[in-house]
Amino acid sequence: MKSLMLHSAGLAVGMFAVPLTSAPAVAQSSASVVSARASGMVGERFDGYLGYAATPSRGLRVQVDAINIQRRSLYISLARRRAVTPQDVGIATACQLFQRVSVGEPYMLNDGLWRRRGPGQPVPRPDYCG
Amino acid sequence: MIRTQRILAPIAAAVLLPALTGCISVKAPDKPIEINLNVVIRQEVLVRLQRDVEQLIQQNPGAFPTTPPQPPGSPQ
Repeated sequence: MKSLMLHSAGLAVGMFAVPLTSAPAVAQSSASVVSARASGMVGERFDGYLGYAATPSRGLRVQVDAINIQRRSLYISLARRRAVTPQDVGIATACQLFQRVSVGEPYMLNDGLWRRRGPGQPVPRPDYCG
Repeated sequence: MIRTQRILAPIAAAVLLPALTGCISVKAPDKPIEINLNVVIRQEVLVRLQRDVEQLIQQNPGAFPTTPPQPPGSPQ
């Protein structure tokens, strides 16, 4: 629990060093990230962030990182309003985002392994999601 | 007086210059957000957050992209 608090403190500090991503940049990154996910490069992680299932190009990395930075600030602000940690919000968000994983798309559960949803397989649903 | 200024000027520059560049070079960190596999998962908190999180996802499509963008000219 202590390490959890330290981690969230680090995230909170990091947020202030980052400018908000402009709307056109986010729209552009959305399209590439959606196609990167369909091709198995990028996937949702259990912690509510996007991760790399394969080594990304520099351009893709910039776009995914921009989305993750935006997510982090959203998690931090919701966490403050609900008196929980940003990690709690991230994990709760991942529970919902996992429901939208399409066939062929990669995802990472809390064992740290990348899997791909195969044809006919249900969406990933960790027990803790309730 | 002049002597004092001579001594103080480089000191002032040394103090002010990093402060100025510090203000200008605001950019995203190079390192991606790291994965922490040791997080404590509190199920009761997750259940309580479900509705908030649903809204968060719906209200921020840029941060949670799913479907391909609509072709130009099509209704949103």
